[in-house]
Amino acid sequence: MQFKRIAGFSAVFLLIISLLTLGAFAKEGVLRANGSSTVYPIASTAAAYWNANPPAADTEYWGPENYGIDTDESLADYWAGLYGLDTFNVVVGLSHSGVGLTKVENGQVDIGNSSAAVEYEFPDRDEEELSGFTDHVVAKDHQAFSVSKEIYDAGVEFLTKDELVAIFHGEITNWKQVRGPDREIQVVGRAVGSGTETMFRINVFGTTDVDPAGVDIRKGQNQMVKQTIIQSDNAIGYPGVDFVSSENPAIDVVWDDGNRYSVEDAGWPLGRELHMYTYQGTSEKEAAFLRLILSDFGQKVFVEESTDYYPLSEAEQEEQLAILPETK
Amino acid sequence: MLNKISINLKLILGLSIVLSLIGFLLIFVLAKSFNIYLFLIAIIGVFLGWIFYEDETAKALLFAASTSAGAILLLIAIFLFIRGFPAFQRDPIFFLSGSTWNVYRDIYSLGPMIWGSLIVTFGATLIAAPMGVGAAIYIGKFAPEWLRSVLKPAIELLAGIPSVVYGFLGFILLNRAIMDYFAIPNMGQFIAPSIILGFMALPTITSVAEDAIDAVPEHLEKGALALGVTEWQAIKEVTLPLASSGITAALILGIGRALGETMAVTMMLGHKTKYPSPLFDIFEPGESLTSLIASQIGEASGQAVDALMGAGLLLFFIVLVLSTTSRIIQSRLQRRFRRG
Repeated sequence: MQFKRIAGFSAVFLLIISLLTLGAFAKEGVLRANGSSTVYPIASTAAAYWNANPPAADTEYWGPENYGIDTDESLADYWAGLYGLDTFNVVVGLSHSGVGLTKVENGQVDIGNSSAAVEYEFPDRDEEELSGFTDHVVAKDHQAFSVSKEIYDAGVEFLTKDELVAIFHGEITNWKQVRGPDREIQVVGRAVGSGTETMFRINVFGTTDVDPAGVDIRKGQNQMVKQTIIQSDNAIGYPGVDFVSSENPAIDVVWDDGNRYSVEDAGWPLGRELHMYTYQGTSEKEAAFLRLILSDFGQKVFVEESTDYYPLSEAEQEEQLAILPETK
Repeated sequence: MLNKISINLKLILGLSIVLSLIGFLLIFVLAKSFNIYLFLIAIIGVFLGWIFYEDETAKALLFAASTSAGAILLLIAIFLFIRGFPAFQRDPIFFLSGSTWNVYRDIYSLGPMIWGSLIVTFGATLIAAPMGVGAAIYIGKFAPEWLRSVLKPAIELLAGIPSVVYGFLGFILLNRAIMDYFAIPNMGQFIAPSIILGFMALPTITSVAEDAIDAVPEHLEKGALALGVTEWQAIKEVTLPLASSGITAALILGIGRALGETMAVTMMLGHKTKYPSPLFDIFEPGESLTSLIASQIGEASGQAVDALMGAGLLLFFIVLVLSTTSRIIQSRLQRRFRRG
């Protein structure tokens, strides 16, 4: 009886210990990223490809010869091999820009995804306090101006910068003042403090220190902004270009330089960079994964083909690759 | 001799478990690093203890299980106080009654959000109080057995619907319906979460109020009936006055539920951190304390986090006072009837 009990408990005990050790080991080899929901689609697609590790012959998912890479190694083996590393798993978590940056700073993750530069996310801190962060720009996002379908159909296909500023300041309150129907304007903003809101203020007002009194409601996620514009018949908002549809069409803008831009144009004035930050330099492990995303292959597959974001120009790509440690 | 050794062993074992657990908790709270070894020592201790002193170990484990809830409440209170207090320290009067919440200028006052919580909760109470108490009276006194057996679980199920579902329905249906019906130009109005929260607080109020009505001794009502009054008169003049403190407790609990509800409110409200103008305009978009925390904590840094922690502390305090008050009233009621 006594023996049985000891045996039973030993079994349970061993199970717990082995689970704990397994957990500790599993944590060891993994590259972790966390942060902005805006950067998430890029990072998580890249991680999915990395973890699946397709062979070189698999031209649908890898096919290195199409990108001028001469190798017969599988995807992750090749990129990790550039630094002489064995392959490892990549786990991408989803939170907010500020959370991702805090986590990378505390060493809880290796890469912090952020939709705004770190100096905008932590405005209280001076340059020296932020010097630990290394910025890697992986793609560009265009923030669209999107209106309810009823407004677009009634003829509001563009707005000038002055009109937009007046709308956000609450000086223009009816669509009929800007070539639209006689209907009050409902302005949908983003949560204050979010990366999106910060970049919007910088791009439109030139500073974050404004109080756009015309904003009627604020929503925490792009998805909620989109839903609110669709649900209403009088709304304007500024979701990421990923969150524009025929139900909430994007409008053009006529900007300071007198040119009219549509959201797909390279010169679209509401651009912002999407960042993946590392802390205390960039380790070879981090660099291997970032190099994949920054490569021609990564820009095409993870940015161009799987999101509505915009890939880096060739010069920007070179600039970003130069930040990473030298390959072996 | 043997006895002495075994007592010492017991003491060492017990102490090592307790100390390693405390150490584990401290390291965990201080978040320096996740120290798995102290936790392992505690597990080994429990394991050895169970083999050699099963009775004592079982008792100790049961004790730990029952007291940990209290300990966790205490830890939460301490944490909230430490993190939330700085926000009050700077300028408590401005923090609670000013009108500006500006993240970009680091100016934080909860005035508009406190007002928003009041509007939403008041609206919810206007709906939930008469409906909840009415339902309690009907279920407790008038409903035939079969109807009662349907209504009671139905109302309790209402409490089981996840709040995100309420929020989703409110955002998709109610926000838009109110916008159309009252011809107002914006979504995110105060009135939408008021209505939804009214339904969410309903089960709490009904079940506690019904308990209170049930607790009134039947012979008092029977006595009134024997004197020739109608059933409704007996309820109105005898049962309700006697149950009134219990019903008050139910209302307070319901108010606490509405005040603390977060998900549904966050999805429906417009997150505008300003006072509505005029002050009682329930069709304006706004912000409540809970939705403020939920919508901003993810993006906050520096002083904004302090201010949000302050809001959390305030909410915790209010809900604590409300539920304690309700408890005290309920236990008084029980004592009164036990004596009578």
